[in-house]
Amino acid sequence: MKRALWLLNGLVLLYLLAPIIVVIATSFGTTAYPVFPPQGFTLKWFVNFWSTPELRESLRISAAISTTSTTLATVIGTFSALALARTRLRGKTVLSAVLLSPILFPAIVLALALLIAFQRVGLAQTFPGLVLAHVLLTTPFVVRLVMASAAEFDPSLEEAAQNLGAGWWRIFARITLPLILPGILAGAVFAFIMSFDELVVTLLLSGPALQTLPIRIFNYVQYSSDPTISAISTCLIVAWLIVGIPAYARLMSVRHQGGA
Amino acid sequence: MAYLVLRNLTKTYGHTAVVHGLDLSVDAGEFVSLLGPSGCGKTTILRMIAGFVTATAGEVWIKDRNVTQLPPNRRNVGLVFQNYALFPHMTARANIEFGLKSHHVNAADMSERVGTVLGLVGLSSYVNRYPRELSGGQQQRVALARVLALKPDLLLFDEPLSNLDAKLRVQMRQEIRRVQREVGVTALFVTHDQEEAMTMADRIVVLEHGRIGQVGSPAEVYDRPRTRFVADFIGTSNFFEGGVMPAGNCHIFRCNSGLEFEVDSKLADLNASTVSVRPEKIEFVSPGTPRSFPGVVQEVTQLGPTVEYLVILDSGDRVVMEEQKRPRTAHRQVGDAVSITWHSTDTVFLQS
Repeated sequence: MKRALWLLNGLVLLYLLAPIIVVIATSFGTTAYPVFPPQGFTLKWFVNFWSTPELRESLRISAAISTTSTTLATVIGTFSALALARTRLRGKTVLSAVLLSPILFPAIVLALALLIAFQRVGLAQTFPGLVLAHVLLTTPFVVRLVMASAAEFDPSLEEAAQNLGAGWWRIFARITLPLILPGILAGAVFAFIMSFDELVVTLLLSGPALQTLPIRIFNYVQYSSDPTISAISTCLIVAWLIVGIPAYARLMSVRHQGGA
Repeated sequence: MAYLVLRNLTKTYGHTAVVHGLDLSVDAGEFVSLLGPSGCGKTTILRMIAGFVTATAGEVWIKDRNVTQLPPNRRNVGLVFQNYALFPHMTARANIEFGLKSHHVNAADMSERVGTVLGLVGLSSYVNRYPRELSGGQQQRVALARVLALKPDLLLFDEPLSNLDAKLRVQMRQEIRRVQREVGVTALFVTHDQEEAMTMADRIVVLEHGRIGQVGSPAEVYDRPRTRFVADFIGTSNFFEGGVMPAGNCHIFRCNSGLEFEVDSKLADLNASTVSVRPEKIEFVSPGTPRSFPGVVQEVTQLGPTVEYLVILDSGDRVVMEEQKRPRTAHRQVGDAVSITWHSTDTVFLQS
């Protein structure tokens, strides 16, 4: 029975990992289209990625949008989470549901709604517009993760700090912030990945001059099939392994503790 | 004016009054215990003094200064929390330094003050440990040192011993008292544990539903409880219902059960309908002794150094008495016919 379960687990894992392994493998192949198993070994697709101006520009745009939106989402999300974790207002459940609702909406619906709204105020196809959309999409995750940290936080610590003569800023900077920092960092990493990876909403709101990396990849595969895309994917996978996995582990551990 | 004065202090939540017009004066250097069951408002009073709860009405004066409207960080009052509330991401030393840094104490002064309080609470070798690496008693000492370092005008304790095991609790009572005397700071100690209040406090304030039931020294509160609530909450009491009446040149108390006993005329309150007698004031006497009451032992409970008996008197009254174990003396058995008595001055008249 136990052995059968292990076997099943192994198969599921293989099913999940196989495409990733194939992508990584093909990015080193010498053929002009992805072949598995790869033939030969080359780094030229990586070089190609780096030396194609549009791709580099897309990477820059993506990085700028993700960094800006993550910063905003983290700040907004952290304060919202703290407020939600503390108030005993009756509207708390409703407010919390509203804040988390972008997670539940189909992305395409949200994208259309934003497109219509942004066109009216001239934010469509602009950098601030895209940042705003990404903030909307990622803030709920920050709220969720910081709320989990804030729930573990003992409010008498803030009272103790105040009793010891500290003002609100000192209490926040020296007591509250350090103790909920794991949640904030996990939220920020999560928000960054979400934003960097976002395609549906971005596709509708971005213009020709504002092509993020996912959009560029999306367009690239429509007329070309060389393994440059595989090389880009490999870079993203490596980056994900370095920052994403730890953040994900944190999210999971929070869920296991039931402290949501 | 007294050192700490609470004047008509009141707190209501909606229509529920938690603290009703409380008046209390505490002298400098005094150790006063606020004693009462849960929900009597004792913690709310403490939190109003610390500034975490805004008083609905009334004033708090500390050292001739009205602090009622001051925020908690400007009251110079040290609060020791029930769960200690030590900062988990800071060492014991950093916990103590936190308050000093908040008050912009310079480095030299700071290390001297930290040294002093660590010596005071006997913690010098643990300064670099984190709270999770300290035992409950050690955490308690850090919490105490942390507030003492600020030289507070007033020390507040919110049931600080309730998370410790029995033996350590007794030890920490003495520790806290010793430190408080050494520093000479005025202290207010909230507890629901009457033994804690009795052993530690100079004065006990017994609280009942947000009102003062009685204020007095531990001996006064125990030996001369003012109300049935106080007599019942602190220790064990036998209650008798009835009325006082003159009998020749003395007074007797006639219970509704028909039991009659002589009471001290000087102490007698002619309006009282309830009197109480402490179990240890009652003793066995040989049958037929004047002013004694016959009865039968119903229950015997061993309490260690003493034995507790439940005696059913012939009048039907149930009396609990406690007898000290003595050398070469056998104690009574269930079913024994006995006679009991107590001295007239040990009958306490309670206000109804």
